[in-house]
Amino acid sequence: MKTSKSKKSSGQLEEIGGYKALPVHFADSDAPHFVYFKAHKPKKEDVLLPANRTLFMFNLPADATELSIRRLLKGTARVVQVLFHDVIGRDVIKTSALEARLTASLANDSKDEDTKPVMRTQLLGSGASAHVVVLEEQELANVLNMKSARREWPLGDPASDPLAYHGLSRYIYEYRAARPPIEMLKQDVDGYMAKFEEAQYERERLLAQQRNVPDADGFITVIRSGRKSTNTDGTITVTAATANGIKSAEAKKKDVQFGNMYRFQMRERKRDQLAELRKKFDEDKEKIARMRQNRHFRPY
Amino acid sequence: MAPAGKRKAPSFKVADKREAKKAAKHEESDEDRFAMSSDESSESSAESGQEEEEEEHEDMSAERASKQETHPSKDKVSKVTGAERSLLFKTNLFKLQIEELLQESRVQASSKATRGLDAALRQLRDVVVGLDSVPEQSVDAAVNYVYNQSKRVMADGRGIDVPFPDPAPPVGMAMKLGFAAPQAVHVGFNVDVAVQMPSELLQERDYVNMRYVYKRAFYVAVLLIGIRQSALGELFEVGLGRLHGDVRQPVVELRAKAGVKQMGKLGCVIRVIPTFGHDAMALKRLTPERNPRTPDAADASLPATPQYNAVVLGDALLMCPDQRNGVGRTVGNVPVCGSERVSGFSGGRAGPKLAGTMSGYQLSLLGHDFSETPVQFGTDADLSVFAEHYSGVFRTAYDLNSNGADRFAAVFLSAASCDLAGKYDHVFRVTVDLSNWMQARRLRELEWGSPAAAVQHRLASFLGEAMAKQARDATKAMRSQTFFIGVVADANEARRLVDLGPSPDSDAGCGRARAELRRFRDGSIRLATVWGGSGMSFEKRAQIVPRMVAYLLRRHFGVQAAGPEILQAEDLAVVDKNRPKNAVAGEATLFSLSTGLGRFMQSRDDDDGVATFEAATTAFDALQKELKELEDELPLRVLQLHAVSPGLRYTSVVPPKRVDSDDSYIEPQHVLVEFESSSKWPDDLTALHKIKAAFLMRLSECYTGRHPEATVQVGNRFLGYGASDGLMTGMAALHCEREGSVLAQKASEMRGAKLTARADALELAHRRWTRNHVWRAAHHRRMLDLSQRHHPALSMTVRLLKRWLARHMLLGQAVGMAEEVAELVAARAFTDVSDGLQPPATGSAGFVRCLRVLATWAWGCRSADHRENTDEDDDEEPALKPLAQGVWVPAGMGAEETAALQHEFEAKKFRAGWRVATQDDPSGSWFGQGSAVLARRIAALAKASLACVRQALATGDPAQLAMAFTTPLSDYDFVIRLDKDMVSRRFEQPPRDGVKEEKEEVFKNLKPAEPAVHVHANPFNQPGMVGFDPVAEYVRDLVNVYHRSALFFHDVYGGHVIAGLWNPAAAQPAVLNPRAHANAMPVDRKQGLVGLNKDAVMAEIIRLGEGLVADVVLQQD
Repeated sequence: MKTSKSKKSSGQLEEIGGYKALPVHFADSDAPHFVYFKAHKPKKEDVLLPANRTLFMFNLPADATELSIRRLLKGTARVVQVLFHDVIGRDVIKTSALEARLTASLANDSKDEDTKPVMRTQLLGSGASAHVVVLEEQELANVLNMKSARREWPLGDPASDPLAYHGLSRYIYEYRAARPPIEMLKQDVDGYMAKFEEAQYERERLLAQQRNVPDADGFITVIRSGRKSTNTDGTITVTAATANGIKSAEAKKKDVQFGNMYRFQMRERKRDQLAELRKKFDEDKEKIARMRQNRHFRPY
Repeated sequence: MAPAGKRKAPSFKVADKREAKKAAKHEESDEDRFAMSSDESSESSAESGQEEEEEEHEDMSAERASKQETHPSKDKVSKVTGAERSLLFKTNLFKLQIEELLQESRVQASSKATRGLDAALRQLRDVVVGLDSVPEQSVDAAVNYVYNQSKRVMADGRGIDVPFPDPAPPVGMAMKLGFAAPQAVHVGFNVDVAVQMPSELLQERDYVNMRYVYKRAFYVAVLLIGIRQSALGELFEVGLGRLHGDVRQPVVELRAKAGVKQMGKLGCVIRVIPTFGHDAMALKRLTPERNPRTPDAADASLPATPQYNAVVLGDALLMCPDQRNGVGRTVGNVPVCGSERVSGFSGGRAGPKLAGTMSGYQLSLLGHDFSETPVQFGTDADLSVFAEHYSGVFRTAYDLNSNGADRFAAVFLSAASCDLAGKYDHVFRVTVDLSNWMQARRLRELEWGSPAAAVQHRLASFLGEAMAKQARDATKAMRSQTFFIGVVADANEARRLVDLGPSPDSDAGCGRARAELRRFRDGSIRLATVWGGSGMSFEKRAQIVPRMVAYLLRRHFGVQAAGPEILQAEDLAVVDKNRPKNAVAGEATLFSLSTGLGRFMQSRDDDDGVATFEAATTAFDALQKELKELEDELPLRVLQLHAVSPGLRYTSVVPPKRVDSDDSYIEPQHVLVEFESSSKWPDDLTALHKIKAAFLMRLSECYTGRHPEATVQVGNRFLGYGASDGLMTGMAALHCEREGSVLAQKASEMRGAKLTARADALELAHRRWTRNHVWRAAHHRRMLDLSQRHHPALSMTVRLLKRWLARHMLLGQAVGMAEEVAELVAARAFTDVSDGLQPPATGSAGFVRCLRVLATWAWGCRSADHRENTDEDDDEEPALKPLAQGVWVPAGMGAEETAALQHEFEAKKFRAGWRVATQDDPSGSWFGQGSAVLARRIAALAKASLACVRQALATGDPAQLAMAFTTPLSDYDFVIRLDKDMVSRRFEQPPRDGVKEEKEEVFKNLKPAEPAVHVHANPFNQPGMVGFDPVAEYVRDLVNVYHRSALFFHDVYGGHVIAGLWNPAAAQPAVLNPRAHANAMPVDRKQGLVGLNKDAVMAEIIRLGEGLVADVVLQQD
């Protein structure tokens, strides 16, 4: 690489586009992989990502895990947690990565979390990014002032950590994980359903309490009940309109059409038809012209 | 029909401004216009594309500006004058197109382009008219005369003989041959020059004993000498030719000598054809049922000679007196289309009697069904006589207006006659040694003009008679010694196992040695040929017709199969015994296209093609019954099972395997279980999924309770399922209406709350749910209906098409076509019959038609060359016209409905990518759309493969077929080679040629019941891994990880390479951007540019594929 000498003398990592470029090597290849990072500068305050302890990294290897990042920064910084983006196959419906962590850490209640029978392996998209929170502010500075040296990317140990599986063993592991023993599955489903029903019951109880009870200003809140489109305060039920329902009703109003009541309407319609005919004729002519240009008419 | 003259280059007419621009360009490069034309067309189309876009913009603004203008005011309406009004109301696109085509293809008389030709023709006329007479003399004298005269004028000083047909006139024949200058020279159509032989030379009974043919031959010889002697000899190569390749009809041909610019750009051949006046012979004697060759025509025992009669009459017809304007123009049109369409046309010939005022497009009779109601020119001929004696009356009717779609290009502009493979269900190539025929039969005394025609006639009449039931139409084309036999099979009859022959006491019947006497339920005793047992697979039955043809040809014509043997052991045992006396011996080989292509449907572990779909479908029905019986034990009733797997609708390349076989790879057959609806499903999605899992567990408990021998696995979201008899492996997912409605409702709520990202995700999830649970099931029902009830050959077509796509690494996965879309493309070959062909009855014909559609589909108006140069990125791709017609006709779609659908589709103006629309899915969005890259690749590969198939047919070389199913790896950027042992589907590859072991001849009762499918243990040392395909998972991961930087291609049916292309946009150096999603490395530190780190990506790919990848080859940088 011809330009590698430019900043080598300082011993600092080279900087490109405002990011530090950290070359890492994999055991079996000479070509370095570049990981880019800089200090995270949030636009607004975030509980999860404290402003001066968070690192934004990107272009991580596809098989990067939290453990491997911990090991990479070992001796420079202690990692509190890693928030990966661009994880392949994450259930987007549930939550984004950040929100998932947020709810999990706020609740900090291991009971509530989805107890999965087995750990899922994860894979990142090429060039994936992550937020890395370190323990102390000083450690962030340490990372940003890393010296250039040959670094190996720490791959996990497949013997102890299923997340470090690669290739065939990973696929076999996933295949098995998707087909857990029936007892395990049963336990999982039953546990969840018990909790779910409990929560459901609790919510209904709370709602029922609120019904027909005036608040401080003397208003009674009307609450949606059940899945029918009705709102109720417990005694009186009114049919509720949904936002979408209103929109479609408005759209329908515009569709009203006038008939052929007057002579001028008929005349106008005839004129329109003629115009339509003429337009079609012109279109045909144009089509022919285009075909002619593309030498459509020369079979030989 | 008038002989179709070749019109090489139509006149050049400046039509409008753009055309004029092009014309100016042409003037510059007058010399090598044809060399230039291909480049130029792409250039000009690129230009036109831009202009079009501009125009569109202009149009839009103009329309907006002058909204009133488009509505003509009252006086404007009344001002629309006569001519314009008629145009307005009477026009349609077809008329305009016809006019344009005529203008382009008609050589404008006395225009600039024909100046040279006109001069040449004038000169020719002068020469011919001025020729000296040769006094009438005997045959011998005439031959000597020609020889001596020609010796003087020929360049090499060698004389020529009078071009008599093979039985030359007997030595003492009482006939005088003479020559006199022609009465008239008629430059009729094209540049065929008809010279009228003076009536004095002919006698009224000259049709007898071929006298006319001999006289004509002498006349031609003298003409040749005369023209050669004149100044024309300097400018033209003057030689002899044959009209229609018929030895009875020699003509003089004038070709422009190399370097002589006389003919200008037209580059045509002038043919001088002798003809005679209508009064010279008694033409009434030449109606088809007569035999005028022998003097006593009254003898009814002599066979009629319709072909000979037609030849003589055809010459007379060249002097057609009234060629009025309209007729002339249409006749001009018929050669354009006729020469492309009709191979061996010999219909009734009579003088035209049509209204002279009809315009050209009214006379285009191509929409006419000639077999139903023949067109009669003139009133005095009895058409039934014609029908009796000429087999090749127009059979093909082109329905120009079917479906309301624009069929113009298909009917008039594309050459169809060369595509035998798509037209006929079975195509055979037979090479015959013609010398045998010449000696043996003397062409039946010259009824047939050439030995080839005679053999053709014999083959056709013989096969037509022998296979009257199986084949609706046996038509053939020929090329010197090679004959192509095309069979349009009757879909129902062709599959019959027992072919009923005549009753034993009659003499007829062709397959007698093969036949046995059988007594049938109705009491009749008849000869019957039996082609297989009742357990014969569907695919084997499709091979019955080729077997019959091979058998008959071998028995009666001594034709041996080239390449793999078509006949089965039981046929071979009897085929050569006691061959009939009139059988012909000789060197001859047979190549059958449908058999050759059929091999690609089979897989390596089933190279006999014994696996069937029936086992799986019956197992599915059994499962449905069994689940319904569980009714009382389940909280909700099972309403229905929906199959969604290709294996259950006859469209998977490999038929489903037994789950208890523990094969290397067992494809799971997906089935949806629909419970009756309930209001108790929760609104929470996670809870819903958990309850679904609980339901499946309960289902499995109940099922194993009843059928303890079944193995059932339950996963989180699905039910792994081994049916009680071990026949079927199903993955049953729960179909629950509630889930869909919850997703849809949540999505619309999010949309209303302006949470776009969430709404997008939910909508995507809803789409995915609908695809898996509703659309797939609907598609399955349609396909099943289509292939079971309407088109049995659809199954094989789909399987061939899927195999082809997969072999070219374009099926499924990343860049590929979805399996369902491939099925729809195949279905189109059956439902879209607007090109006037029968729906194919075999897989090979269907497959070839699919290829043709894929190869020739107009992807937008831009030429393919232009698109090749643009960026690979989808977003920057110009809009492609989507593949629009996967429309179901048999489901009761009328033409208007189809047209409406088409219109609706076009109105949507989709950009980028291509889609397949159906009746249920008019926007073609169910199974996703293909990218532009895919469209381009498929079009190019289809074109190349089609060429291979045609080549295989032309040369009879099965290796060419294999070429069509082999994809070149050289144009990919990198190739990942997989460890072959770890590819669990590798036995689904097509069988290798020559590997199939020869079976020993054994006694019938010692033979194992049926050849079995081979079973291979899976390579992972873990039994029972149903549906485990690590390579597919790996490819999926690669696609997900590198979707921004590379494209991956892989043969899903056990291919052992993954090929890749870099995305050129990602490979460009760019500013470092965390959202680029590509593996970046610094390339230019001063400007802060980064590029793709290909080495690191390669290393990563190897790491991710640990245990699967053997090595990676970087082919290009």
